[in-house]
Amino acid sequence: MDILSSFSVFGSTLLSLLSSPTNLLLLIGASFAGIIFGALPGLTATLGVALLTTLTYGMDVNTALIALLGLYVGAIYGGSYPSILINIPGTAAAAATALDGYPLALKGQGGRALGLTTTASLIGTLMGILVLVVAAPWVAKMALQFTSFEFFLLALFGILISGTLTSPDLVIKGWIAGLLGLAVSTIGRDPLQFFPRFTFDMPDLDQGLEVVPVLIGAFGIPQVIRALRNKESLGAMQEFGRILPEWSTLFKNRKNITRSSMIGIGIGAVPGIGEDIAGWVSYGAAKNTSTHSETFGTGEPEGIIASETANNACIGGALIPLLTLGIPGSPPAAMLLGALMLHGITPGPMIVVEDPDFLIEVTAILVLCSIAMWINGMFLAKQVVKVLSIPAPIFLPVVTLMCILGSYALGLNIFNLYMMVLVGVIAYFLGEMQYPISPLVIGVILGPMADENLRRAMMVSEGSLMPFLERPVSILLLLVIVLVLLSKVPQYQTLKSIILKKLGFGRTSKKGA
Amino acid sequence: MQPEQLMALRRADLKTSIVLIILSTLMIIESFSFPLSDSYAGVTNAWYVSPALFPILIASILLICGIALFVKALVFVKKNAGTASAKESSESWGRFFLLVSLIAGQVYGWVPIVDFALAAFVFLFLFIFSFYSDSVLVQKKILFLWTSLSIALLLIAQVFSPGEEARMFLDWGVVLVIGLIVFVSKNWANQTQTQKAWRSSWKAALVVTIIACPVFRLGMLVPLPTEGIVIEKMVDAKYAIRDMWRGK
Repeated sequence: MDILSSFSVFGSTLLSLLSSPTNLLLLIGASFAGIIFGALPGLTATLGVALLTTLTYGMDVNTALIALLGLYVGAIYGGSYPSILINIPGTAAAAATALDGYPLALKGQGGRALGLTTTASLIGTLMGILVLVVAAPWVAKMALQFTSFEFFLLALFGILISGTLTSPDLVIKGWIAGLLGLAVSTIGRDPLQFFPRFTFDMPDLDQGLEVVPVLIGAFGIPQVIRALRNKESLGAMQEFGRILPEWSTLFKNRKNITRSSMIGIGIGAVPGIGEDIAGWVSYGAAKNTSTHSETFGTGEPEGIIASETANNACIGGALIPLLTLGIPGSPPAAMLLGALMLHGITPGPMIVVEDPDFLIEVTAILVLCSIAMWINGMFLAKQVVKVLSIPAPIFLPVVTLMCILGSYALGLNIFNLYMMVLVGVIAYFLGEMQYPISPLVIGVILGPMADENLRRAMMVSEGSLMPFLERPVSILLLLVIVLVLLSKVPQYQTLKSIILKKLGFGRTSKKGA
Repeated sequence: MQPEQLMALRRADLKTSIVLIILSTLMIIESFSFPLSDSYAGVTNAWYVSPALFPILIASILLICGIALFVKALVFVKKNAGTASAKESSESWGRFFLLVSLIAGQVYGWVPIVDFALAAFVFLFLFIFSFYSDSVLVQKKILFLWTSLSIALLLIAQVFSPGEEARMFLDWGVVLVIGLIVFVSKNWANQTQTQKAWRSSWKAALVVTIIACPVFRLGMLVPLPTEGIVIEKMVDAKYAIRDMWRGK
């Protein structure tokens, strides 16, 4: 598709969406709901998208995407409210924002901090969209050359890297979480021969576990249990005045914004790693490169801009592998994948062939969502803060009821509810033992893809593993997987440092400096 | 992380790794019962297209990871034998059991058999009241009451599999029980000086139920898990109003 026709599709999608008052209301409403979800500690963007998926069942694809993407963008931004006003991050993605946002609020500049986060989030999202629209067709074109060998390795890489980077304790726990997800995905009839695996003669398990109730269970129930068990309560709310975008500060931070956007997009594009890591990495990079790094942590606008630009830029990045390879870039994107499949859309390289306009339509919707987020942020901040004053013991039971309704409504099957509770309690214990939940979820989603492609590949090669070593992309992926695995082996680290030292690349001891 | 917390974590890792080793071994054993190189449904299998291939691969790696975790945790525990483990307070465990009981009771006991509006109201009311009041006494009483009622409902559903008429009687019985719960819990609120929490709880539960049920059932046309004396009447009322509107 040439640039002119892309622009015409983009323009016509924008016009058609904007011409419908229902769509506009939905856009503003979903974005506002997203901000609330992000702002309320204990609720996340993933859970918001999961619950909303149920409500979009009867909508057409574009309307459903307005609601889902509106909520996603809003929730990632919304986490900054409690970070700035009460020093408790609404989502993990906004944790880095609290470091400078709260001190700024203590100085009586809460409105300024919120203005900066709102506009930085808008710029971050738009940068992410720009890279998405440029890179996605290129990635998809490349992915069209992929065969079962590459898809199997890609799924494996996604789970492995997600497990490696999201584990808060031992790396092996991240891998175990991913493997558990893959194990869960094998329940039900296998995709090639329809042989019942681990169904124990229960007809409800024949189709395997439904993804949405599993995701709601994995993300929703543990959060409710954790928040109420640990009596997580909100601190005293800081006052804030008018919210202004403060363009001059943003202009001064243009380098910071560009770097943070790139970090966010890059991290978002890596399968399974979310906005939280993007926020921290970007904050760290801003601090390291700043000429006045000692002011970080005392209310430095640079810090707020860095983390908020990056976590929202992550959205565009996370959508690149989702739309082109069918591999979610972040936990909310994993939920979005479930929602798209529910609407009959299977993301992957074929999407540019089957529906060439889809990518541009998503881009147009994302642009509208980011603008809606900015409008909501600028004009409805006081209303969001009012919602923040609802005590957790009141809103979390309501969220639990929504989890029950959401899990039931998709398949109208009570068995889904049983599974949701079971998965929720197991996920809670895993979380308490420092197992990351994202790799588990990515494993559940990518399991069927890995299984099917491994067996197809083996079928083509008649049981030979050689094609894995004969195809260039395959070799590259294998190398990356081996390197990721080796990087966590202490003996490899020692060997690497000895070799580097012998080659003259060893680090000079700081003691002597 | 404090040394005591790390010790507790590694002790938990030891237990988890044993569970993982058992689980993955069982998975491998079960996978070997799948068609490997024989024929299934008229299709002759080769090992590399067998439905057992992927589960065996995953379970084998899981087994290796389980063993690695076991060794790592064991080495740590032996090395730091003198360090005590951090323990959660009994109050915290009490809250945990109450939470699991509330959610599991609602899903396994109430939702499959009781009209959803009634089940949602009583669930929300007790859930909000127990945590909003923040009283250990109230939480203990609610844990006992809710668990008993949920088990009773689960047994009724499993043993008697009540028909439509019996369910209607059950719903009326539940209405009576809800009235009693609200009345009794007011006394608990008086005992523990948590009257404000009690008032907010029933008001919030009522408002959410009144909004959520019509939105899902009438707005989004999602049938609710169990439709009894409240939901059915609500649906009937909708059609009656619609007919009246159309002048039928």
